[in-house]
Amino acid sequence: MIQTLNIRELIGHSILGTAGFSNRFPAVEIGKCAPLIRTGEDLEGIARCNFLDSNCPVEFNILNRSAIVNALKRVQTAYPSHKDIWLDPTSIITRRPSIGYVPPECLLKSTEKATIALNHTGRIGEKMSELRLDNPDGAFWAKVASEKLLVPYTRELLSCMRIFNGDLLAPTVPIITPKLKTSPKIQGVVNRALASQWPLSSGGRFTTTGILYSLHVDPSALTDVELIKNSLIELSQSLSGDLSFWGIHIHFINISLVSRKAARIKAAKELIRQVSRIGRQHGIFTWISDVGPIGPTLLDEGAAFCSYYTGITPRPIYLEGMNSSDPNIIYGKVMGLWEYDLFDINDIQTRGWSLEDTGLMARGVPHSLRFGKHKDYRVNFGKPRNIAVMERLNIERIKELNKKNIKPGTSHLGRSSDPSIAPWAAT
Amino acid sequence: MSTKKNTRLRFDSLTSQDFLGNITENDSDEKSDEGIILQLVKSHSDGISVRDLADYLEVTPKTILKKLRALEAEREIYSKKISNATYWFPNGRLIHPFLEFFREFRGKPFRFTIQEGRSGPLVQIQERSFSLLYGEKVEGAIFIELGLVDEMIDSLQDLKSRYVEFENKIEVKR
Repeated sequence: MIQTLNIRELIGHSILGTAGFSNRFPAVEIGKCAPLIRTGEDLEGIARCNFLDSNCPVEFNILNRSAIVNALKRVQTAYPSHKDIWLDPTSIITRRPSIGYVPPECLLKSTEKATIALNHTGRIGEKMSELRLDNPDGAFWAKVASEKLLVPYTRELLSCMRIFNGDLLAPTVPIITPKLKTSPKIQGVVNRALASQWPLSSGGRFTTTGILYSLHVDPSALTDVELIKNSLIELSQSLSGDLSFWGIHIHFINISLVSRKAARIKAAKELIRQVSRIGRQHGIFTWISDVGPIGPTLLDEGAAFCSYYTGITPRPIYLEGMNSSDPNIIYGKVMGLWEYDLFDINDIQTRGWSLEDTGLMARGVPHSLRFGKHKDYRVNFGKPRNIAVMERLNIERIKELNKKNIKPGTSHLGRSSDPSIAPWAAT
Repeated sequence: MSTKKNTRLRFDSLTSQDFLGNITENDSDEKSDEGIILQLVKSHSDGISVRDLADYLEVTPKTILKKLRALEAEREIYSKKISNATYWFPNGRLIHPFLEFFREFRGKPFRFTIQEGRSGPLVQIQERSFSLLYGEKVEGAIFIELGLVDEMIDSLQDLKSRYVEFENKIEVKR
C-alpha cells in the first residue's frame, strides 16, 4: 500500500496537511481547489495566470489531448511576449502534479457527441465508442470484458498521458447508477482488476503513472442508500488489500444535477465525508472532480482537493444543440469573490466592467475585450478571473482554518444567491 | 460429441478474471522494439549475442545493434567481449520502488535509483529530456557504488570550490 496523505491537523472534517502525487515532486499542500483542463481553451486561460501556485495540481481531460497540445504550442509561441503575466508553458501541466481522466459522461448514452469523443484516444477508444453506441449500460461492460478491452484501453489512456508527464490516472469504470443494482460491485471489480496489473506498460519503459480508485456516481444514485452503502463497502475492500491506489477520484457526472435537489446535496456531502474518512484510514487522499464553484464546501467534508472547470459554470463538457448566439452563453460566466455569484457579460457591464479585487489580477475588463470576440474575452479575462477567485479562496481557506473555522467553504458559499451554489451552503 | 459452451458474460456476475483473461507482458500492443530487446537481455543474465537476438526477433543484426547501442547509451545494458564474440548483459535491477525517485533541476528531469550491482548496490543517476512532441527520453546515466557516494559528493564539492577559486582569480586579473 502507498501512503500519499499526511495530515497535520483535523479541524472539524477539514484537513490540513500534504499529499503525494508521484516520485517527481515533493508532497503538496492539501485543501485546495485546482483547475481542470477540459479543452485547449482552458489551458490558454491558465497560461495567463502566473499567480497560480506552482505546487497546485491540475486535472486534464485525456480525450482532448490533441486540442490541449495544440493550445500549448500556441502558448509557447506567444509566451516570450507576455513573460510578466503568463505562466511558463512547461509549468502548466508537465512540471506540476497532474491527474488524467476520461469524463464519465462519455460512458453514458446521454449525448452522441460525448460517446463519440471516446474515439480520441486511438484504436481501442474507437472500439469502446462503437460498443458504447451499440449496447445498453450493462451489456457494454460485459462486451468490454468478453473482448478483453479493459487493459489495452487503459494502456492507450496512459500512452495519451505521457506527453504531459501525467502523474496519476483515474481509470474508466462502470458508473454507479440505480439502473444497475450491481454497479457498485462491478465498479469495485474493475478498479481492483486494473490495480492488480499495475504498473501497466504503455509502450514506453518509463511509465511512472500511478492509479487512483475511481468512484463515479450518477446523481440519481445518491439517494439510493443501498447503492451508496455498497459502493463504500467496495471501496473499503479494495483499499484493504495489497493494491496500490494513490488516492480516490470522485465524480458526479454532472454536478448541476446534484445541485437541483436538497436530498442529493445532502447525500453527496455525506458520501464525500465517508469516502474521505476511509481514504484517511488507508493513508490516501480524496480528489473530487469537476465540481465548479461549490468545491470549497466539499473541502469542508474532508476532501483533499476539488477541481473546477475554468469556465466555472457547472455543466457537462460535451453538449449538443447549444444556442451559440446568446452573448450571455458564448461569453461565459465569471465568478464574484465576496459576492459569490456567477456574472454574465451584461451583469459585468452593468457594474461598470469591474468586479471585486482578488489581489491577483486586474479587476476590470480591458477595453479591447468588452465588445470583441467572445473567445478573446473568455481566454484573456473570464477564465483567468475565475482561476484568480479560486486561488484567492484557497488562500482564505487556510487563514480561516487557522482561526479554527471548521466550515470556511460552506460559510463562503452562504454569500451566494445563485440557485446552483446557495443550496450547498443551506444543506 | 462436443457441445459449444455458452460463454456469454453477464454484467451482474463479471469478475476480475473476466476483464483480465490471460494477461501477459507480451499483450501490450505498443511494446517498443527497444523494450522487447531489453527484456530479452534481462532474461539472459549470462549474456546474449547480437546474432541470437537477431534470430529470435527475425530482424537484421544491424537493426539489433542499433537498438543495443541506444540501450547501452541509456546505461540499461553493457557489452563485453568474450572469446572474439561480443555479448550483451543487463545492468542492475531496481532493488525496490522506494529506492527510486525523480527530481527536476531547472526543468531538466533526473531519475535517481539504487540498483543491484554485481558486487553490491549501485546508485544510478539518469539524465532525461522532455519535449512536447516526443515526450520524455533518456539522455544518459552514470553508476556509482553506494559505498562511494560520499566520496563522489566530496569530489563534486571540490570541483565547485575549484570553480569558485577559478572565478575569483579571473576577477583579480581583471
